[in-house]
Amino acid sequence: MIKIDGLKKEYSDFKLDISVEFENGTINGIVGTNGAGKSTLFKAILGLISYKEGVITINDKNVRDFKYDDKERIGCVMTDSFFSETFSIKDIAAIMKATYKSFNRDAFIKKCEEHKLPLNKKIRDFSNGMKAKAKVLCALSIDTDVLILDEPTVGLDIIARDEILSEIRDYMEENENRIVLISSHISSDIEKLCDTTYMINDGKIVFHDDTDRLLSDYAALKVDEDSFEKLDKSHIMAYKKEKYGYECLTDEKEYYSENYPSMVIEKMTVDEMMMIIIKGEKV
Amino acid sequence: MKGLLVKDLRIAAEQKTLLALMLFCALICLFTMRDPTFVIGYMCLICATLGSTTCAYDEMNKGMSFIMTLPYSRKVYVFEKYLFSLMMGLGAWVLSTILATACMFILKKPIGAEYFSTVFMFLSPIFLIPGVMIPIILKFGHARSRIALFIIVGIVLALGGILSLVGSVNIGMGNYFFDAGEVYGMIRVIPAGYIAAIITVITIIFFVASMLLSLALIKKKEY
Repeated sequence: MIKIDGLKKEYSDFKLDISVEFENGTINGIVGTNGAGKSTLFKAILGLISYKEGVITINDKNVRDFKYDDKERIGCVMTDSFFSETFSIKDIAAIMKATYKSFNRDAFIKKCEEHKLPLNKKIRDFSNGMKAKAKVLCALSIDTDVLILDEPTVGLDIIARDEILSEIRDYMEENENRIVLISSHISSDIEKLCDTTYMINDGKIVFHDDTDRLLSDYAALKVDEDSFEKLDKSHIMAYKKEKYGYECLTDEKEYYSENYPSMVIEKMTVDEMMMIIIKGEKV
Repeated sequence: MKGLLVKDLRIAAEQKTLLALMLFCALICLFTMRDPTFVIGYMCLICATLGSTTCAYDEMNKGMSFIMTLPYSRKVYVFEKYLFSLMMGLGAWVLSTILATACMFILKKPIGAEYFSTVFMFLSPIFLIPGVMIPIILKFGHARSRIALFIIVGIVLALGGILSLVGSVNIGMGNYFFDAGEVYGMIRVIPAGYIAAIITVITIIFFVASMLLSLALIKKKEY
């Protein structure tokens, strides 16, 4: 389990303040706008930034006390950072083999060939999609307990994205105790892959729930001003003023469809939920 | 540390054209210049900078964030940079010494204590170059480190200039009379062996201090 207890990190114009637990055997999606704190959270877990307050533990061990053997059990994909682009896939395979005891070179090379990544070409000559694939396949070729993926599907077309998500799913099935943390701007990735979705805004986790429940029980209620006044708001999480009246986010779609049969109730994507939670008013 | 060494060796391999050119120039210099020991200095200086070159490669495309997620501690990263720089510098020193000595034999030049004291003198820059470069790059980054290096070289040259001026003046202060020429004269009579020992000790102290400084700098850094 990853346990983050009272993590506080301050910059001049931004403050992260997070307490959260990620259970073993789960894929957790982190969504939020640019600058919300997703990458800062990941960097704190990975030991890339310092923090004065809070404790981060992975399987009951403080990440600040991590040694080589502990760090070897964490894999990651950084959105804009990787090995020097002067390297080829073969160079990367050699470095990873010398770095991680569990790195499976043959499987990595085979996966790269399957995804049509040239083995001898320099990374700088790859397309953005090829670079993204190389990073993910590299991380998936290590046997880890925790996999942190910061925007791993950036730059990928819809087919490549689906292939990568499928690789991540297969990786999770190999060892069901693993924890995957993934951030993405593409809500469909989160919806397809994650067990739980966390929404982060202005350095705080503002909301989280099972992704299945988000897709089955959450909905947008579209009501005019009169109906909004009379509406039972006990299951309304947030609302936003629109031209026609109000758009309300509920986590009990069934309740409103049974009690307000004429009401317009629409399914929502994670992005749309995020818009209401972040930009709307809380009840 | 093995993974980091493999990474840096692969970066050094990227410089193969430059290194081949360096070797070619060195071979020409060996037989065209009167002093084959020039080649030792030339090769050592180029190869001793390879460690700082790998720092620049690590930094490219914000690569340091990813490298710091590898299972090595920041301490290991710093030690590897110094170790790699020494490996490259000492490798070049051994190779160039073999080439220069062979050339001395071929040209039938005397190989005595003076020759060997010159050869061993070139060990010092192998330690000093990474000792200067690595903390500067870690502190300022590759791009800004060039400016910092220019400033440091400027200060060193200015100090050298001031010292040469001081060497030509005598300053009287009450009962005390400072004669720089006399001081230089005293230094000149110190046996070469003692001077070599003093330089070795200073070099080692500087190298260790540089490693400790780099360690302190990298521990504070956020990626």
